[in-house]
Amino acid sequence: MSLTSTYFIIFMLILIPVYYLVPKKVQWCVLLAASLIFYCFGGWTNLFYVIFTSLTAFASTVIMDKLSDEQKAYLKENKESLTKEQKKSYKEAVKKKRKAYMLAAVILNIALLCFFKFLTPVNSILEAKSFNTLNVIIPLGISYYTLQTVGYIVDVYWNNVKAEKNYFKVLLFVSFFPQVTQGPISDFKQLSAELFTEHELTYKNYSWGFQRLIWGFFKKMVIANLMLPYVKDLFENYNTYSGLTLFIGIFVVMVQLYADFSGYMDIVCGACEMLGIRLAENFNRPFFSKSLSEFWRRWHITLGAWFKKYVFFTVATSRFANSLSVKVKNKFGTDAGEKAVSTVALLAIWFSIGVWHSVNLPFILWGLLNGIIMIISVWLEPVYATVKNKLHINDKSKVWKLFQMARTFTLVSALEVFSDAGALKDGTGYLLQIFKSAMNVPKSFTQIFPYVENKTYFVMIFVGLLFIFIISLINRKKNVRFYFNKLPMIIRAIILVGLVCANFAFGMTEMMRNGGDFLYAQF
Amino acid sequence: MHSFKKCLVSLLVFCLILSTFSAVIIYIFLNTESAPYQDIVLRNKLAGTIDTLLLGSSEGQVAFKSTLIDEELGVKSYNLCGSACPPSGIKALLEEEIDRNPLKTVIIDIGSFLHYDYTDSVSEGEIKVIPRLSNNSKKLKYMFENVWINNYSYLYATYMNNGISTLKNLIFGSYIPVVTGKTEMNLITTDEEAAVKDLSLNNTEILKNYVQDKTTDEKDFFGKIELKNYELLKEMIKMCKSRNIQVVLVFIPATESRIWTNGNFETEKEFYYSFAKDYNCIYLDFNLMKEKGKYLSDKTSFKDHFHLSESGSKVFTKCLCNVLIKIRSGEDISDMFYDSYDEAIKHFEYYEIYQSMLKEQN
Repeated sequence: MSLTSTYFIIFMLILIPVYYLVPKKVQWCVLLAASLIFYCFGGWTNLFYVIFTSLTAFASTVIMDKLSDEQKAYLKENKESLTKEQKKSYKEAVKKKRKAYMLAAVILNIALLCFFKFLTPVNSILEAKSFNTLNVIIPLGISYYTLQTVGYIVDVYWNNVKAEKNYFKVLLFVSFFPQVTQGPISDFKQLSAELFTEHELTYKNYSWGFQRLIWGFFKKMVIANLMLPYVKDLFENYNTYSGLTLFIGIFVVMVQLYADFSGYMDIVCGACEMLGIRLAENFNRPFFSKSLSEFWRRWHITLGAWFKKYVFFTVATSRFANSLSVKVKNKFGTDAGEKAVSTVALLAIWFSIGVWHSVNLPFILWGLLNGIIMIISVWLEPVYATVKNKLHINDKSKVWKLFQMARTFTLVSALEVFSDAGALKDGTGYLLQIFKSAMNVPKSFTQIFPYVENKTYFVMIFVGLLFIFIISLINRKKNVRFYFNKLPMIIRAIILVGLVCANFAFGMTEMMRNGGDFLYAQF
Repeated sequence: MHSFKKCLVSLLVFCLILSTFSAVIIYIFLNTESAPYQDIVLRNKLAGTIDTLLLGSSEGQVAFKSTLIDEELGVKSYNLCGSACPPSGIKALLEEEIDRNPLKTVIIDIGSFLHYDYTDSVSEGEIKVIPRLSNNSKKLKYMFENVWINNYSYLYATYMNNGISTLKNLIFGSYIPVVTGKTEMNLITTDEEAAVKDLSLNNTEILKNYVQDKTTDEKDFFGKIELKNYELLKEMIKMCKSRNIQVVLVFIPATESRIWTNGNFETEKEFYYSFAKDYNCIYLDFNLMKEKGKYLSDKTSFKDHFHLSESGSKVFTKCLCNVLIKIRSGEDISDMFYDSYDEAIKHFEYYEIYQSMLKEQN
């Protein structure tokens, strides 16, 4: 079920009253039923994979918890009779068992994810060799809920959270409908506190949620969808455009992606807010970032946080990293030792992120390039500090901050071209064409913005982006909805009606023509 | 309770403003100078005088020149064809006119009738039909029976957009009225549009694609017939027969390159001949018209593979009228048409070129 379809609107219109009318103790059951219905819209066979993932998570976490509880009970009972070594070896044995269950569950789920990730390239090879391809449909949202579930399993292993003893609550955690297609990738502790708490209908939740939902639709249906044909055209025909058009195009691509993905986030967060549930945020004004690492702490926040918690720290605290750190420390000093560990961990994390997006060269290269640039920044930090000192650059000045933002935005947008172009040669071709056609000066406004034939659409995009920028500035101090809700109800209603009409007037036609799929749903 | 009341009030205020605004805009579209509204007004004005009705989709809308038909045949015709008009819409429009006019002939553009695909549709055709129905209850009934619930947002968006366009036209005085006395919908096709690149047979790459795409699978035709459409066609013919109205099924000519590519035309022709015989109606396939290439050249008479250009439609309409005059006077028209597509193709303007390309490919 697409979030921008009539079915979703009807779905929410039914869900919200039912959710608040049922006894509060069973509100989560309503969410579970709604999530399963939502998921079945994409084909009931998809449910098999969600159930498999939730079952493996449930079984492994319950067993790990049971082993922990047994250990505690045994050690308490035999506190006086066991020696220190006996206690240690007993604990090691239990830890080993717990690790085995954890690894089994994680490997099973990651293997399933890898199977689907590798399905497309394998099918391409089979097709090229005239064999029958594997006719398997990739389950909806598997990349997202697998990571979320693996995080839960590992958190139980690390004793960060107690295992949930009710299988259906685990199933809800895995399949919760607003986030199953594109995240956010939630922590069990945080999400379960929201899902399994009793919720009262409050005017603030309802109105703020509704406003955010409408705003999300506007970002996706009007801004992102209207920009999409331009973005597609740029990649398909980059050979025909001037360097300036292509250079501006890299920013347009990035902004379009932001409008699409953050629009989705606003829709799901708004829908959840109306149910009294707070989801983790995935965006925090990313284009105001002053460095690449800051950007990835503000863009797709939950993905970065997941990889940092479960990949970065795992690699950084591994035996290999420790021995590397010691070797480098002995040779080049403590600082170098720490940076060597960060280097390895960053490479691992960014390679994984690239592969998570897609098992093809452009995405892997995109991931590695991001990692390499961050690694270089880590190693050259003292050099930057020296240069800034020598040039008397005040890094607290507004000009310097603006420069950093512009630099980061350009870098991120240029790197994004690799992943968005679809093929490596197209990504590199696009970037090279900027320089090849640099002398090809556009003679008119429409040559710079080829899609401006429809002036109304261009104005709509411009106005929409201006709104996003202004709202981002306001959000620095306080949530813009705080100010919005101070307006009289009639004015708020008129503004929201205007947004709804704009969604239909501009967004619906483009959606029907070019498809309304969210870009991050492809992962 | 206080929160609930406040939520309810704010929701009601929002819905009230949205529905009021939407109602005003959609009213403007449905009840002021938009093309569908003008069509309704004109039909109401002409009610009781129309004796020849032209039905179908965009091919017919472009191809049938009703003013020419009136002159040549001495009738009073009305072109009720519409862009993407689905069979259900064609039947609904026929039902509107059949009882309030002294109809003697109904001419149906049959080309895409049986193949209209409901599953692949955003209900675009149905959405276009609704404003052409004359009263609100008919509009609502048609909407609930034929537009999928998932397409209601598209329907709303379409009517809002059309309403705003109509409002702009009213404010800036730029609307194009349906010309009184002439019954064509305001669809303009020009000779320039006919010079579409892929109709030009100088492009050998495109010709090669046509040769490669040639299909001969009979199932390709029968597999695509929608049973619902077949039933609708039978119901329409029955409706006409019960009122002694002659039904003429017309296959509007397509380009040679389209016919060449698709090997199912012969199967389709045989199907319609047999159907017309069973249901006592006339079937005219103008792709089989002798010297079609001379009168309706790909290069000048078509704006795309299925739609005639302005000049092409005038020529076609005259040909249609000639045939109908001969039928009316009891003459044999078989010498005006080839018996089969194989025979017709041999007389195509570009037959030799296609043959040489086939040989090259093989």
